[in-house]
Amino acid sequence: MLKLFSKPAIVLALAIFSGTPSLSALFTGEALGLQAPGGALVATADEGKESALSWQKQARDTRATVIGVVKELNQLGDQGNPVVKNLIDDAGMWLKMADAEFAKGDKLMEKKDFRVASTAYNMAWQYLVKAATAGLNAKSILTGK
Amino acid sequence: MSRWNRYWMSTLVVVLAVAFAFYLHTTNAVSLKRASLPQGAEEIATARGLSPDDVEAALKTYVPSGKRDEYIMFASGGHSGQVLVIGVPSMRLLKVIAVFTPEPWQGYGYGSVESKKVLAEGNPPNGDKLTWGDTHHPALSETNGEYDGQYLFINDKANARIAVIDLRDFETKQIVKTPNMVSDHGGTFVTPNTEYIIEGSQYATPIPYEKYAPLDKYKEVYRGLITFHKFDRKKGRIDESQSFQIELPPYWQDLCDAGKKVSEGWVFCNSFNTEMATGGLGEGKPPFEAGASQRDMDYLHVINLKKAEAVVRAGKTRTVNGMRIIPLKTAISEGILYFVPESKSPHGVDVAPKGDLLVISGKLDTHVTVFNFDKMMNAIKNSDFEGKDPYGVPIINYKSALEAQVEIGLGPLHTQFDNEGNAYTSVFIESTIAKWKLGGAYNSGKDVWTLTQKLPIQYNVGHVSCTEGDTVSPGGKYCVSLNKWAIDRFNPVGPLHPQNFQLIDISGPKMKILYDMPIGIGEPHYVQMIRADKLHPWSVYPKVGFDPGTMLEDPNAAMPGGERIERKGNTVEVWMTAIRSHFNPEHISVKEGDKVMIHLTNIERANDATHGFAIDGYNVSLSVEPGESTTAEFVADKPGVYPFYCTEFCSALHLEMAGYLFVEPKK
Repeated sequence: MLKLFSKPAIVLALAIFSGTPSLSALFTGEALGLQAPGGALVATADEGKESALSWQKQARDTRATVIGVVKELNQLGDQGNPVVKNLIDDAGMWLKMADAEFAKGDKLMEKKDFRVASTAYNMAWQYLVKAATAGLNAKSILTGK
Repeated sequence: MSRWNRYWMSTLVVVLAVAFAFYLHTTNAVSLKRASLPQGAEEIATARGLSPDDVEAALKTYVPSGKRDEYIMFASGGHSGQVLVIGVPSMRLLKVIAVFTPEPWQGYGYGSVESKKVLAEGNPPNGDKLTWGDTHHPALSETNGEYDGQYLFINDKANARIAVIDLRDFETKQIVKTPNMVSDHGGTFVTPNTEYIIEGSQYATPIPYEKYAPLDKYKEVYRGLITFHKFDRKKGRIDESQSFQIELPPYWQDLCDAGKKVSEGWVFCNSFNTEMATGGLGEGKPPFEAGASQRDMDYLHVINLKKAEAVVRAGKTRTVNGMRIIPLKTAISEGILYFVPESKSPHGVDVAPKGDLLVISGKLDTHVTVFNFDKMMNAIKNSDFEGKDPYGVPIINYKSALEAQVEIGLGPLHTQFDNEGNAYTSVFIESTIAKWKLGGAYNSGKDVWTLTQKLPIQYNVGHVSCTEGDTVSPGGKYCVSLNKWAIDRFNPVGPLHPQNFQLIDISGPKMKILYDMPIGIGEPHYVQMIRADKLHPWSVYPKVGFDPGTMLEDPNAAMPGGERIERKGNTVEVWMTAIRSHFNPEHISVKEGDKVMIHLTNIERANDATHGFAIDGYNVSLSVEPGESTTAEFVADKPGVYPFYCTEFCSALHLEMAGYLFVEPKK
């Protein structure tokens, strides 16, 4: 299964936020664990659980990245810039919504409702991507990069 | 040689010598002028806080007074329903072409018979009168895969419509309401000789959409469609009698591109909801954004257009609302439709200049995928399939079709090309433009299929467009990043922010941002940039009494000396001319309830001598360009006295260019 935003992607994101100039070393298919599956569309019960676990991991990994971003932005502060403040507030809102979906997903996993748990973790990840986008924009405004 | 001949020869030599000396002097003077910038330039830069890069950007974008731009950019006007015309590199807005939305300055939809006809033709059969459109993707007409500067096509996503704009006068000539579809996104795109204008539906519905079916019938009844509108270049109009559609699975088809050169005759479209998610947030079901992104792969649709044409000719279609549709089962059995897995929720499919490579961007992926057309064709020929989708469409083996994958960043969307074998991909979440090197027939060496630069843009780019960058011969020089969010880039103008077009210099080894252009009219989505010298618009209409609607002489045109008013029953017909600074006639008398037709001709020939015509209180607004003849029609249903006047400042006595409409009340 294609793994997106996995560990190397976290390194990438942290590199972005730490201003590491050279990112090309990170961009190898091998480093990102990318494969090229095809695949049927019909999910079996095992694939349902596998999908849920995969989304759970992906969302958790992305959350760790976003928390790192939030910490950095807290250190930078909004520097009195209301646009940045709004973006930081938004990022916080998305993070809360993501955590709510996480909690929902975890409960569904306990009930073995893997299909719905998968979509809950997916939604958590979607919200985290939005938080990351807001954070990236805030950093871009503050640092010009 | 005679004495007279020697005299004239000597005089000629002296004249030539003087002329040459004068030439040298002025050239020298100009050279001297060019050799040094004004002394205050550095002071100005310092006072304005401009960096050397800022000054360089200013020099590269400034087009001096009276000079012309090198490229013309046609941008969708988004929700405005119009098309924007912008000069590059100056980024000056040259015009807003009225398309789907009535526009009074251009006399579009405010009483003129011609424009009302165009707008009315675009209304759906249920009688709705649409007054806006959601324009997304303009497409210039092409000849042999190059922009030819003759026509521009644009879609309306909100209603599934296509408009045709004639670039001789930059006016909309036709709007087609596409049967059976009510939303589109994969439009407009053209085949290499503009045989067809492609329009793909986006959100699946029953066929036709007017047929109700509940969502629990989604898999059985809901479908996608792709329409191939036949373009009659001689007439400059879409000929729907020769158009056709292909039924597709309900996978939410997205963007398309026509093959070119080696892949000519094939068409490619993304899809992003092969999960067949049906939403239901609010009913306790997962929302579309989660449901439609569950799987790692969606399907690139690979369509054999040549075979489709043959199937249509053979009559193997069904007709719905007057449109021939190739059924999905027929598309499969006749070898018209194939799938290739593509990275999830893809947004762009972009065919490289030689037609040999297809670049796919999965918007929730970190890399772009490049398919090889020849490999794809071999896979089809050898039945190298991974299986079939639930509807029976063969799925080409992914690895067999794959050429390369390039790591780009977070959220790649669209790709365009330059003339040096480079590709430029927009990266939404990261807010960058990624430049990378094509391999294969474009470049050799170790650094092919690698990222060479990422340029931060502000912010969250959708499409990137480069000069002629989706043709068989891209121009290089510039790209434009079409950013969705401007956030803090411009003076604040309230909570609704403009979009941000950023002009990028790609002429050197490193991309550089040159300019931010706010777009405060709608969300543009996509643009195409054409060399300005490929466009040959008229400056005035070719003859006095010319009808832009038919692009022929108007048999009803008012000509000088032929001005008159005629009554036939309850219809009053007026033949009126306009010239600086009067209308003739200046008085129109009618009775309440009369139908009034005014044939108005601008009998001038000078560039820019446009006259407007508005009737106070009657919601009539016309624009008549030099030579143009137009007809306004309305019912004089309000008694009283209504001045009419020229609305386009034309002369010193422009205010005196007026008249009166007298509407006598019913007794």
